[in-house]
Amino acid sequence: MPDARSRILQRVRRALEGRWPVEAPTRPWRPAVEETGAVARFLAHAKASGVEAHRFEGPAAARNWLEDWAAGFKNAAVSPLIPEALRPSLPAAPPEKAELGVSRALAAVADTGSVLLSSTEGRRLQLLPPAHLVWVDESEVVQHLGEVLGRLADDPPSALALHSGPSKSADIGQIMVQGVHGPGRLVVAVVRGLAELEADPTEPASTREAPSHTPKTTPPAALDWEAVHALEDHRLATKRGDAFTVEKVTENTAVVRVSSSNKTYTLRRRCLEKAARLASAGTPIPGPAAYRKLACNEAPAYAWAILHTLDLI
Amino acid sequence: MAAKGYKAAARRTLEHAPEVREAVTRATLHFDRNRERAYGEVEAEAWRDWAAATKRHTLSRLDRYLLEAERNLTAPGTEVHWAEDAKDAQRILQELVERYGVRRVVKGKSMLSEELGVNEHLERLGVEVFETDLGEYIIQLAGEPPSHIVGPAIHKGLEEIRALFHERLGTPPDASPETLAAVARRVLREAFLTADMGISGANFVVAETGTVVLVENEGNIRLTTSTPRVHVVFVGIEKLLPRARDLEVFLQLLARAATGQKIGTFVSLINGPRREGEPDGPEHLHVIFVDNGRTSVLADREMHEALSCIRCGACLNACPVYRQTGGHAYGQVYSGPIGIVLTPGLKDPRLAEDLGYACSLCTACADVCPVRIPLPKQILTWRVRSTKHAPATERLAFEGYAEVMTRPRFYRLSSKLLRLTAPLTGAPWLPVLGAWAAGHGALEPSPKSFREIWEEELDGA
Ligand code: SF4
Repeated sequence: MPDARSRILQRVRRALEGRWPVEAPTRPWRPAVEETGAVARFLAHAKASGVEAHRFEGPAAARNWLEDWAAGFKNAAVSPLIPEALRPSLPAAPPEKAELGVSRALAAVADTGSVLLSSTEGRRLQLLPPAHLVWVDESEVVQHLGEVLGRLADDPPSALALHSGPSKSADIGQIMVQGVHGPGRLVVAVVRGLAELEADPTEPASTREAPSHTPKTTPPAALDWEAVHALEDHRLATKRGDAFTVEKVTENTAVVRVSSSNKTYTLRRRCLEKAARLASAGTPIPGPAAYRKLACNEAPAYAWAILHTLDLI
Repeated sequence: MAAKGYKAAARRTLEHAPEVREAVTRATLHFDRNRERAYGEVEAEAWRDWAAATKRHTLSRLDRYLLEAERNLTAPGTEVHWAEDAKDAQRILQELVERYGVRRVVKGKSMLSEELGVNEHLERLGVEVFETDLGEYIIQLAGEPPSHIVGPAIHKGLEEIRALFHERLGTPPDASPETLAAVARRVLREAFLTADMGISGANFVVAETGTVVLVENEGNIRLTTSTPRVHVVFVGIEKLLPRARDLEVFLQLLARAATGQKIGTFVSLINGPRREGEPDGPEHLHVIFVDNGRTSVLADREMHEALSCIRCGACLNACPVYRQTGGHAYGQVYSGPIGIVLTPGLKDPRLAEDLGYACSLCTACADVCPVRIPLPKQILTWRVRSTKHAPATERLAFEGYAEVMTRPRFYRLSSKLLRLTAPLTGAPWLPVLGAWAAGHGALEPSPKSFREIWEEELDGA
């Protein structure tokens, strides 16, 4: 006897029989080009939905703010992904007891004023404390939602979440109440140079100042994008030996197609540049895992292979 | 279902609970205004075209996308089940309850679980169930079904909720909304931390990546899907989207259509059970694909678009009929325009005889639907189909009307006849039309027909 699965599928097929298939809209939706910068748009949209949003020129400024701000809390549950310099000096507490949860976002989206959070750091600390502080690196703020959704195709953690404001409900007589189940306060701090700080956790935050007096002698972008362009149509292999082709290189992205699965991944220029910059500053990037941790978590194996081919890491 | 189900229930509500009309009208107008503003901020028309086309495409290839979704869900360790109807779904749930020794369940809002009678079944099994959406919690306390797909308790005003909480939870009779919410939060927080199983629906399932997508404002769904060790997802087979990228428009369009927000405050993108090295999250994830009548709707060439519905509630908010009574008068899980269209298809076509008339054919719903479901046309189609069962007099009257209207000579003759007899009888045969005529004033024929005026005074002038 056929099971429920095959009976349902059969009924679906019978229902569609003889029907003209509707083509998918030809290209995925492309949002408008924005004139305002991503960070400014993100901050404006986040604030409009009740987020307490801040922007800091460097980790030192962020640290200064944190010390004052966190003094209002008794304890905190802090994501293991957060570098020492940006951990509040508060006693640790489990998420169900903590007054404050502190997260490290993977990205922020200007369109919707959202931060993208990962289950890698734990979900409870994002949800149970009444206040939630989220750190995000300035270079990880993107304009459009579509730019972060690609991560779902690239070996994602068990759960990603977009948080776009404090928990709220109008279920009681249409009156807006905050903090119904999730955090009633969402505080997002956009920090320039946060990712670099993570790359070199031994360096104390206080030595990292505004970018105006960067002491390094390395050029701002150690990656020559023309060199990536030149790889177009080339067949490369990842560290593990998986073959892929650099299918297309545009102004801001490189698209690769994996030979075995025929899937494509889009690598962002910004991430590749960041990795190259870190590498030229002496940060070791031994493989995809390190690339993911330091520069970007989009298709790290392929990104790493490209940079490796170019002798940059 | 009694033949006069909707009408009788609507009358009861309007006569005995006038406050419902007030609460529902206020809430829906508020939602509708926000939607209108939010549509105006973006290229809503283009988004709606695109979203409608994407949904139609997905449905036209549904078998393929279901298989793709199953494959990608299973890969990271999610167990996929298939349920043909409510019984099947209940049996699967029962097996899971027994397998994991579940005593306590927390639930996120899911209309599908209402369809399937999940709560009643769990209670029969001796499992404690907590609805965790604040609105759902309120109506669970009151022992009522939801009256709106987005705001399940919009038919209740503050006073009523105060009284309910006072009686059931001992809050002061004049507690503020904040106090009431805080009390609910305390009760439900305890439930989240002690429940063995979380049950949710799904707004979308992405076939390409096997991702279950959930949208909400309170955070209760994120908690439901994060704190207990087992997470069960009930999802209608029509909820698929091909690619992760498609979410870009759908997440924003859903929020704008439903409440006028840019995006739901919390969006969960669930890819599988907890992974090694992650500090928390459910160890077991089960996705149950449910048919429960959906394949019949898919097979119906005039109704299948209704499966594109993303349950935003915009058509309810725009509907002048829904606004008068709220959802309970419809006597079904889904109310408002989409309820009229879906319910007969999912359950029993004869329900259209009753529900089909909870509509003034104003077409406001079609103007707002984010996925461009032709709701008015479909409601009309249900009416046409249900005429087979209409009272004989009404059918005869309309058949006669059609005869007259399609034959010019006949028309002229009968309009003369009407004009001649009306002064004597007051258009005597109109009552034959029964309900149709009840809400209309008596017709007063003019002494001359337009045709006669044209011929005598204007032609040749
Ligand atoms: S039919 Fe359209 S407007 Fe109504 S709930 Fe569904 S998607 Fe929203």
